[in-house]
Amino acid sequence: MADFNVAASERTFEELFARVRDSISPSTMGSRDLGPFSVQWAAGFRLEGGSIELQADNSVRISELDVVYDPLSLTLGVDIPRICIGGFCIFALPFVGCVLRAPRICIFEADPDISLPLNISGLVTSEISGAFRINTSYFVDPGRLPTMTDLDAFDAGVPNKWQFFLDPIWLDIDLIDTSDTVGNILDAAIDNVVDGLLGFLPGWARDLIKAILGPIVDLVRAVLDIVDDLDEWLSNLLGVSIGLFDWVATQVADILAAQFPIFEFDDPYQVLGYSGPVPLIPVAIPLRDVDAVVDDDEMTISANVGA
Amino acid sequence: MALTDHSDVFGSVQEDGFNRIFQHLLLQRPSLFSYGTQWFQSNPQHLCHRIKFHPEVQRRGNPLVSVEDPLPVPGTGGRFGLDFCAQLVDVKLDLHPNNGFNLPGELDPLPRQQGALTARFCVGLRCPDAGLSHQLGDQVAFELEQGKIDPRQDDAPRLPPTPIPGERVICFCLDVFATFGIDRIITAQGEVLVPRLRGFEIVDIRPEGLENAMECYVEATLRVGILPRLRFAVDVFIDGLGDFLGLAPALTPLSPDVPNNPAIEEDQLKVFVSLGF
Amino acid sequence: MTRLINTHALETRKIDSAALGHMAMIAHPMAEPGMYVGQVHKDRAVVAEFTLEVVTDEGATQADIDLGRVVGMPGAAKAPLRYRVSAGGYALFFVSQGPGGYRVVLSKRPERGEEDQLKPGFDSSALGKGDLFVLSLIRPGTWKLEERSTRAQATIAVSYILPGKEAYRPKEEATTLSLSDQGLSIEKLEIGPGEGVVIGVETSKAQFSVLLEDADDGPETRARQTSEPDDRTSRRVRWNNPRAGRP
Repeated sequence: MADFNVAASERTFEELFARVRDSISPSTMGSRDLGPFSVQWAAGFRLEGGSIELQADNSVRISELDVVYDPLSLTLGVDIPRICIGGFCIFALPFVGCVLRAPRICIFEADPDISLPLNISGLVTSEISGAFRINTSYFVDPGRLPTMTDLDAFDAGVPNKWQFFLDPIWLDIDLIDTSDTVGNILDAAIDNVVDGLLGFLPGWARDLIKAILGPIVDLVRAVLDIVDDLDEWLSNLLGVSIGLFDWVATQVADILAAQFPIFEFDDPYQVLGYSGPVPLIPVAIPLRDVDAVVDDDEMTISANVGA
Repeated sequence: MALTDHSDVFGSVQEDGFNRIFQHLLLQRPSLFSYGTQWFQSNPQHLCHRIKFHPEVQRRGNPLVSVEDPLPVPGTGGRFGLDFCAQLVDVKLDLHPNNGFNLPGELDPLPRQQGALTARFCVGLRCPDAGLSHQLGDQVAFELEQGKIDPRQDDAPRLPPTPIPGERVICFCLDVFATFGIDRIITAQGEVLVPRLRGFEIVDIRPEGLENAMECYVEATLRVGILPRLRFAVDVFIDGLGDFLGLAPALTPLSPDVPNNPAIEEDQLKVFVSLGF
Repeated sequence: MTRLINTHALETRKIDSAALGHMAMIAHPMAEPGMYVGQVHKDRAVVAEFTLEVVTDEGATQADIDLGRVVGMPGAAKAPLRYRVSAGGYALFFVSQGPGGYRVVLSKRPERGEEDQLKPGFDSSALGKGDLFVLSLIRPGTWKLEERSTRAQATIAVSYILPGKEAYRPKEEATTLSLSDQGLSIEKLEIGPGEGVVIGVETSKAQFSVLLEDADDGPETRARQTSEPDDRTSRRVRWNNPRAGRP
C-alpha cells in the first residue's frame, strides 16, 4: 500500500468538478459567407449542472452538463432583392407578342444588404455528456527558472505540482433546446432593420416597398433558408455552418484535459511551514508514484514519499 | 466497503510513510532533534551524532542545533557551566499493531489506537580539564571573598553561565521507547491534531532512580520541547483541501460508524473529514 | 449596409414630356436606317450627346436610352454612348438616375452625297404620330394628365398598396389609350403603383404634363386627417402672418 492515500467521495468529486466547471468560460468570434447570407458571431459559453457518476471501470461519467451560450450574438448579413418597377409591355403585335417593353427601373439601385443582429445569449442550450479517465500529470511552472531550488520556486509562487485532469474518452454534445423567443427575436430584428433601412422614406413609399417585397419576415426567412423548423435551422447554422458545437466540445475536452485540474498539490508538499525568526525553512516532502484511480464509490489518490 | 462511506474525504498515512517523513524532517529541520550549547553549535563535529542536513539548510543559514544555555555548575552562583548536547536520533515509528520493533515489557502490548516510537537519546558533556578546573576554583574562592559571588542574591538578574572549556566530550546514548496517541484540541487556528505521549521507557539503567530521573527528563524534553513543534501534516492537509475547494473542512464527528478520528490502526494513521456541503 | 435608393423617383410630383424625368418614357419609332445623333438638352443647353445606329438587319427591336446615364457618364461629351436598333424598332427614352428634366433631339447624320448638315428629326418636346408616351406612376394619389395642344385631359388614380400577406406585383399589361384631335380615348383610369399607362400619339406636336393633384398618404394618414379637426380644435392656435395685410 502507498504511503499516502486520499479518497474523495462521489459527492466530494462533484464539488471538485463543480469548481472546474465554474471556471470554464471560453469565447470565440468569427465570420463566414454562406452564399445566400453571411454570418458573424461572437460566442462564449459556461457550464452548469451535470451529474457525476464514478464508474467501476476507473472512469468518470458526466451526464447532462448544460452548456449555456452566453454571449451568443449572431449578425446575419442578408441580401434582400432589388426593388424594381417597370418591365411591362408597351407595345405588342398580334402573333408576335411584345415588341417594346418598358425597362425595369430599380428603386434600390444595388442589392441592399441588411444586417440582422440577434442576441440570443442564454436562449440556446446544449448538453454535454462524456466519459473521462483521471490523468495524473506533473506540472513544471514555465515561470520557474532553471536555477531555482524547490524552495525558491515555492517562495516565487511557481512550485511544481501534481495535477489530476479529466481526460475525455468520448464527448457527446446535443443541441437540446432553443427558446421559443428566438423566433420572435429574429422576426423583430428583421422588422426593425427593414424599418431602419427604409426609415428615411415617406410612409407611402415604405408601404409600397414592403408591399412589393411581400411579408418581409417571410422573405428574409426564405433567404436564410428557414423552411419550417427554426430549431433545426438554428441547430444547423450553429452546429454545421459555424461549427459551434465542435468548438464547444473541443474547448471542453482541451480545458478539462490540460488546463483546469480537478485537484492539484505542490511537489514537494509542505508539512511544516516557515518557522521562527531565522526563519527555519519549511519541511517539504517529495511525493512520488502519484496515481489516481476511480471506482464506483470514490476517487483515490495515492503517493509515496520520495527520497 | 468504501473508504468514504462515512465521510467526504478519507486520508491515511502508512507507518512506513511516517518513517520516511521523519527522515526528511531530520534533514530539513535538524535543530528540532539536536540541542546544545553555542560551543556545539559552532563545533558540530563534537556532537555525539553527526548531523546530515539538506543543502537548503545551510544555504538559508538555518542552525543545525537549537542553542541552549550551558548546564550550570552548582556552587558558582550560575557563573560557570558545562557545554552539553542532547540529540534524538534513529527515530522509528510503529503504528498499531506493534510489529515494527519490540517494545519493552512496561509498554507492551501497545494499546489500540496508539502508536509506538523508538529512538536513541544521546547526551554529550564537554568535560573541563582538571587543571583548568582548579584555576577556576581558585578564582571562585577569590570572588567569594570579594563578595562578587553571592548565592543569596536570588533576585539579581543573571547572565548565562560561562562555559568551562574542555578537550573531552563524553557521550552516552539511551534507547528510548514511547507510546502515543493523537488528541484533538481546539486552538485559535481551529481544531488541530496533537501527538500526546502515553508512555515512556528507558531500558536497563541502574540504579532504578537514575532510570526514573532520566525518563523524567527525556519525557519532559519530548512533551515540552519537541512534540509541540510537531503539530503538522494532517491539519496542514485538511486546510489545503479546504482552500482548494473553498470549503471549511472539519474532522468528521465521532459516531458508531467513525468511533475514532483520527484512528491509529492497521499500521496507519487515518483521518475522516467532512467538508460541510 | 447599402442603401442606394432613387429618391428622385419617389419625390416626383410633376412629369413633363418635354422635360423627361422619372416615371415617364417616350418611345419613338425608328423607321429609316442610318446613323442618328442624339442631343440631350436641359434648360435650353445641350448637356450630352449619344449616337443611335438604325440598322436593317434584324436585331434589337428597341434601344433603351437612359438619359440619366447618358448625362451622368463621366466624359460623356468626349465619347458619346452608342446605341443600336433595327429599323422598325423603337428608341425608348427614359431617366433612371439623377434629377431628369431632359429634352431629346434626334437628328440623322447626313450620308455621303448629302448636304453636310444634320437633318432634324425627332424632338421629345413635340411628339408626333406614332410616338408613345409611357407612364409608370408609383406615387399613390390622383394624377392629372393633360396634353397641351389638344387640351385633352384625363385623371389617373394610383391606388395605395398596403403590405399584405402576398407580395404586390404590378400588372404585366399596360393600360393603353390614344391621343387624337378629339382628345384622349380614356379620361379616367385606375392603376396600381408601377403599372404602365401607354398613350399612343396620333396627332402632332403633342406635349404631355402629368401632375399629382391629390396625394394619397395611406389609410392611417387619411384617418388621422379626418379625425384630427374635432380632436384638436380646442388646442389649435392659428398664427397669421402680419405682413399678409389681412386676418
